[in-house]
Amino acid sequence: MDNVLLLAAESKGLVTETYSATGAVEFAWLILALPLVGFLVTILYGKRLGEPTAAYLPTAMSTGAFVVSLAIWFQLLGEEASHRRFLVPLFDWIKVGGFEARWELLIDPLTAVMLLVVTGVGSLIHLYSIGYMHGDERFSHFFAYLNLFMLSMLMLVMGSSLLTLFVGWEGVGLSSYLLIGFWFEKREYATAAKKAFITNRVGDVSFMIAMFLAVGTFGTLDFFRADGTGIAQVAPEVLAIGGGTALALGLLLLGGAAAKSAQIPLYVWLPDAMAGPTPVSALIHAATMVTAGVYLVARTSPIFVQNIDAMAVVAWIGVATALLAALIAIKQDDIKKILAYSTVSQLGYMFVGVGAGGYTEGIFHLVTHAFFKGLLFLAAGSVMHALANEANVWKMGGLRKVMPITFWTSAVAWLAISGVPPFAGFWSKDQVLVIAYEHGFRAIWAIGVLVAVLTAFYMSRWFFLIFLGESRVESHQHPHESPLTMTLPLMLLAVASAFGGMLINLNHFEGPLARWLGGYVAPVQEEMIVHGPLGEGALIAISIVAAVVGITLAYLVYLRGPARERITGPVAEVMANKFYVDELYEAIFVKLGGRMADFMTWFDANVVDGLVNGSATVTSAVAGRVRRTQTGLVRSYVAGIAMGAVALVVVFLAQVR
Amino acid sequence: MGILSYTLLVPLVGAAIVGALDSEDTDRIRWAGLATSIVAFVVSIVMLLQFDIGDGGFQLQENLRWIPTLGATYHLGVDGISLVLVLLTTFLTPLVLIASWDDVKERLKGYIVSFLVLEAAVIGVFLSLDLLLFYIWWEVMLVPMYLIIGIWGGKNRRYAATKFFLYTLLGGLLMLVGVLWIYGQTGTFSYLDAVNLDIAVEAQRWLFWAFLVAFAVKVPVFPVHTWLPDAHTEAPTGGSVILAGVLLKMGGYGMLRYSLPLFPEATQEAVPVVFTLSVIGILYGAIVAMMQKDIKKLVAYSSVSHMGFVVLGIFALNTVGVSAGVVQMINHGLSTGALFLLVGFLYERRHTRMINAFGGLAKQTPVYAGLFLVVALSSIALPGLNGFVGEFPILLGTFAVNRWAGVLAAFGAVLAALYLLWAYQRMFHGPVEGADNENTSDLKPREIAVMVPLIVLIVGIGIYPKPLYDAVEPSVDRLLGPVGLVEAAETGTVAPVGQE
Repeated sequence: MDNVLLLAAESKGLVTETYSATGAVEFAWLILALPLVGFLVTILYGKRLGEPTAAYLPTAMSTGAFVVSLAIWFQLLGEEASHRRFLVPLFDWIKVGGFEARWELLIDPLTAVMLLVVTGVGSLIHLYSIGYMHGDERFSHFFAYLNLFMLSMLMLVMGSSLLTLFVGWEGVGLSSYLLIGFWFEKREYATAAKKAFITNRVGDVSFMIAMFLAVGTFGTLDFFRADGTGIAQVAPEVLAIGGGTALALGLLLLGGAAAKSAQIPLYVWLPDAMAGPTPVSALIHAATMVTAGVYLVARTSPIFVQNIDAMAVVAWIGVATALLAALIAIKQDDIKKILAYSTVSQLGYMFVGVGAGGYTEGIFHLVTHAFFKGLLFLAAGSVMHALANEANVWKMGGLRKVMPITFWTSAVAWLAISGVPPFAGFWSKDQVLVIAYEHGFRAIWAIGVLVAVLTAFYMSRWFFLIFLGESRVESHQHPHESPLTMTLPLMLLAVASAFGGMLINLNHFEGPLARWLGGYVAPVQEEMIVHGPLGEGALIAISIVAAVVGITLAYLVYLRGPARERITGPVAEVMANKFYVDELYEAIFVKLGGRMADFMTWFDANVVDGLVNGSATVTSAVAGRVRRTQTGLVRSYVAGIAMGAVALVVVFLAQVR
Repeated sequence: MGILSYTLLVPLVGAAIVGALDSEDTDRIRWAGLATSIVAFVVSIVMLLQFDIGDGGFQLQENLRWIPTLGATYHLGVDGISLVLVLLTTFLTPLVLIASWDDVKERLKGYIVSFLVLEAAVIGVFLSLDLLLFYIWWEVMLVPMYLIIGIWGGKNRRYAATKFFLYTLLGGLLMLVGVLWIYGQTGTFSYLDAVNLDIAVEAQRWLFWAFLVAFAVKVPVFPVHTWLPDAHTEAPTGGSVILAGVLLKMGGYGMLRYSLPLFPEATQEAVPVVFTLSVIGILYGAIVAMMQKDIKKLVAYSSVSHMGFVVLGIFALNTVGVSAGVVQMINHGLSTGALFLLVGFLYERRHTRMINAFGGLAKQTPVYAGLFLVVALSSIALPGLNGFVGEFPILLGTFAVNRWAGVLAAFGAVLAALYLLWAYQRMFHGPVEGADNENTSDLKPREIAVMVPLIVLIVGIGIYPKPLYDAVEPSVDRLLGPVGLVEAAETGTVAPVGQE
């Protein structure tokens, strides 16, 4: 890879112009204002509104944001391809000593894609939650938090600078904290919420340092500026190809992205985040928030394409995460945990895409994944709803008869994630793998194919154990299909999971998405493209074979004969225990860190306090004497003043000439 | 007499009036105290209206004869830096008086008088342009604070009060030596003369440290911080709020007003030492905070960490860092003041501050839990709230001059989240256990009323800090002139470090 030349400095075809907002784009602020109003009203008055009234406003606000996003998308569609980037200034934020950050929105094709995904899937999940959260004592709070999340996530994708993006970035972290710990009465749920926030904070430090370096390098944090001095506009001139600054910026941004998007080594919070209500898992921890890291890399692609090593690290982190999480997923028994590790694994694919320079491919997989993984989680929620929150897949089975809608929609999602054509996941995952191969990352491609087999295997296991075979449902349970508010989002997402891939980008390099994002994500240079011995047709065939092999293996293991776990032994044990990564982190950060903190606390009380000026003894002696006298307080005060006066006089006399 | 004198005198006159009231007439004492503090706030708003934002010099000056034989004058003046600090003081005082409305039951008159005198002394420190006047207010401030801790404090109040007194006094004496040395040079106590004095670098070094010790104790900077946790744990709620909210700022203010402009070369030489101590303070304060069992002590140690950021920004010696340092003093005053108020509300109900005595309060007292979370997040420097708009530029300014200091300090952000959210989890999450937690009542309207203005500012500054920066920046630029770094500061953070 080293000898691959990346001459993105000449980045031909990258659109760098910005235009002032017109038409629907002028109303982009509404996309933030609507959920903000929904949040404020619902958090303050929601309790009084009661159920289900409290949910109507937040759901309407989310849908309103979707409508505005749709209008913006149509407007962009009508513009010329090179005239699709708009800046919507709102007002000043921080402006001091040459540093300037404004509240400003950036609307371009990349943002528009994210807007549609977030508001579209988000609105469906608001609708679904009306049924799912029925009867919860904090029903209104849930919807307030959902709108707070929408506000933050939309700020994230519309932020015109790294700093305003960071506001949304932290806002989604807060909403995630509130929603993971929504049922905070359970200690482990509260712990999971805190773990998510803290782990993300580690990534945030990396992100912040990236911003300090970016200010030093570019003098601004704006991606695009009307005068052409934004980061994305000047990166090719300012950053040397293969230069250290590009590498440092890339790795620091990756540090932030890896936390938010649950990549190695910061993925550990996401599986625990399943403590939150299932609609939250679907919306935040599958479809939208966790993809923010992928969006960040795509948004800063002009920086990444300057350094092949930075890109390679992203791609390798991605594929390693994809593999690790897929291996763990095979041995999980919790209906949501399997999906959680699957999400980590799929996010790994997206990182392979954006790491290999396939920004369109990475975003494509982000979109289809939002459909099918959102659907899988909502289906899981529907199943748990039917089984009084039972989450163990070994206590399910045969649910296809009692829950036909959940079953059929899940089937679509299962085929989509397993990579079976023509379902959505097949196209996007295949294009990610193809671009990795074509851009010279062949080892990553090969591992990616292996992960595809594993994915088809564990997702088939999930699907078979829940819906097919004999029922293992405990006798006191009476599973039933969920209400329409829950099944309607399932059906809509099933349609998207079935046809979305073909509609969005059937033809890899000439599809609608490729043309839509073309010029708006940094292109890699021609020289990087090294055609291997395999053509795209052969690569597609290999992908299909991978899916078939995975599904067939799962069929042989779990569907033939009575359902029982046949994958056992020491290696399986390690996988079931998630490679003991949590235990390792616990030992290092909690145990060792705790002991160090204990020592420092002892040190502060006994050494610093004692040594600075022997004050401990002096003070207690003085205090002791003070205590003995009746008017001690006044006396010591007088003594202090007297001491001061004496000193004043002494020094004063010394000065007089 | 001008508006500055009124700002200074209103609390003193109010203290005298309260002092003349019958000690048994507690209602009248309370209302008189509150009315005084509100008048003081209104007067300070008038000062703000008369102030010309954009002019970095000293405005609304008043210069009267005082002790002509000594060359000491009654010289007051306000610039952007002292303006915002005075406003913080007059804003917090009425809130504190409302919050501790029926908190104090004994010797109420003395308590109110102490608060008003304290308010006047702090305002005097911020407004004085005469070294002797400054020093006197600095020492006068000690007395009411000492009494507030020592009389109305907790079990160990005498130990804490004495420790507070000794630390501050010893620091103050060193400063006095410096003040007198300068007097020996100029023959007057005029601050403006002192600024124009060209002190030899040798002498600067001694003077710099003499002043810095006084300021460092007040901030407090590691390792002279250990009086603070004791003072905070023992002080009554109102005392803690003013101590953290306003008194600590005197240290930062002193550095800005004296260390930087009077001893510019010595300041620049000292940067590595001060940076090291600040970074240690940030990380160490946070780690020690994490392990505290008493929530009030936790907040006290968090102040050590947060004020480390302020000092870091000040010694970055560029416009971004110093301005943000000033803004962060305001932010810390609001957030930590609010945290101490909240801790006080809980203490009133439960008579304990032990974190493990609480649990599940989010279910029991949702309004309290919600407000606590917002304030904690402000302290964690969540973007969109006030802490971030100070902390981020501080780090930016620091990183521009010293990458490692900037990077290490940034980890304070992780630790802040760790200690606050961990404490939050133990107090507010989990099941509601025990009769005490079950019977804890949510905030009363009076308490909510105290929190609302604070929350409004926490959110307001977070989203639109521009007025604050606009007020502070011209004065900071003027201040940095003698330090000789303004030009570097203007290109600022901006000095391209990574171009290839």
